[in-house]
Amino acid sequence: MDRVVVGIGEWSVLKLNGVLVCLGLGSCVGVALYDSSKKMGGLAHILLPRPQVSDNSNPTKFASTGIPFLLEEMIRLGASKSSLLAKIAGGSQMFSIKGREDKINIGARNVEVAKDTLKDLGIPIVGEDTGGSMGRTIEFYVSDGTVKIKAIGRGERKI
Amino acid sequence: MNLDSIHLDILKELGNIGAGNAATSLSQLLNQRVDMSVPEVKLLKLRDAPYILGGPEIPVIGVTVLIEGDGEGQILLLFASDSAERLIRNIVAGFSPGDISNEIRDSVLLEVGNIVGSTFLNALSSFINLKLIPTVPASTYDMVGALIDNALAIEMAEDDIIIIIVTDFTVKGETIEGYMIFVPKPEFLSKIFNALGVSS
Repeated sequence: MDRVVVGIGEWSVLKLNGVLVCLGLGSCVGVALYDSSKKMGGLAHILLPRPQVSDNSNPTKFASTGIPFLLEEMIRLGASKSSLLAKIAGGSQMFSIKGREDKINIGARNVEVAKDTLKDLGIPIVGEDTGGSMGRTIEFYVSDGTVKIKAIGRGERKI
Repeated sequence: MNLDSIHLDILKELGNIGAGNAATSLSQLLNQRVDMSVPEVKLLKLRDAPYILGGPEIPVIGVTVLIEGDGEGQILLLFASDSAERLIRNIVAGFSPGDISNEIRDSVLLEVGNIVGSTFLNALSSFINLKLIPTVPASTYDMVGALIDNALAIEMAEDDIIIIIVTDFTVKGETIEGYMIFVPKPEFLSKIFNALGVSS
């Protein structure tokens, strides 16, 4: 079975079976899109909410550009937009420093922009494990759309 | 930004000066000899950064200091759990391991972060004549990948390259490997090279 690790700012799509993985998400957000009729899954490993300058070099680094990009790629590979569902995980705040919360709560902004972008694209979010202060590893099983989430000290969750 | 060997040499030199000063401060705190050196400055692609300590899921102790003032960025000190444990044991010599509470561990690590972060920044400040102020440190125990992506995101790492300054701590002849990750915002890195008369 294919096991594809999706690094920071990267994306990947698998069909029928295999696992798409993001290792150690902190404030990053993993956005999983799934077309159950085609058993096709796509995963983007998002670092930031939006590009500050127009930067087209690596669209999946950003939520605002990465999710539409992943959607386009999946449609090109045969997914149908109307059957796509989304699951998202990550977006933690790994540490706190008093008085600097606005600067360091980037994880929450990633989640917010990811949700807004999915809403604008009309893709329903059917599973979510976001926020908190823990790192997460996610495994997205393309055969049935399950996303397993591992975090230190919390055990495993499925969404 | 294109970084070539002259930029790396400068960063390594800054790292060594900062490490030397930090070692002196730590020696005074511990009342025993501490050496710090920078054997290596690495430039890594974004996707490779979480692999520096063996893999993104490896649990580590991280101490973060934010940089404020004329330049913005972050210093992240990373220790594998056993390295952190040895560092703490050396610093609180005289306690038996069972007597070292989590509170003591935490405050020792924060103090180390404080000293290393502020002395590195002092060295950098005087070299490039910019006012740089460290925040209070914060410590975390979690997956190394999570700490690194968080640092990159906070500093809006638009570039796909990050700088890692590898730092060895030697206490009582025992080498304790740590990683100091210096993540300047891109405009701060440009300021550093400009101040040193090296165009970026």
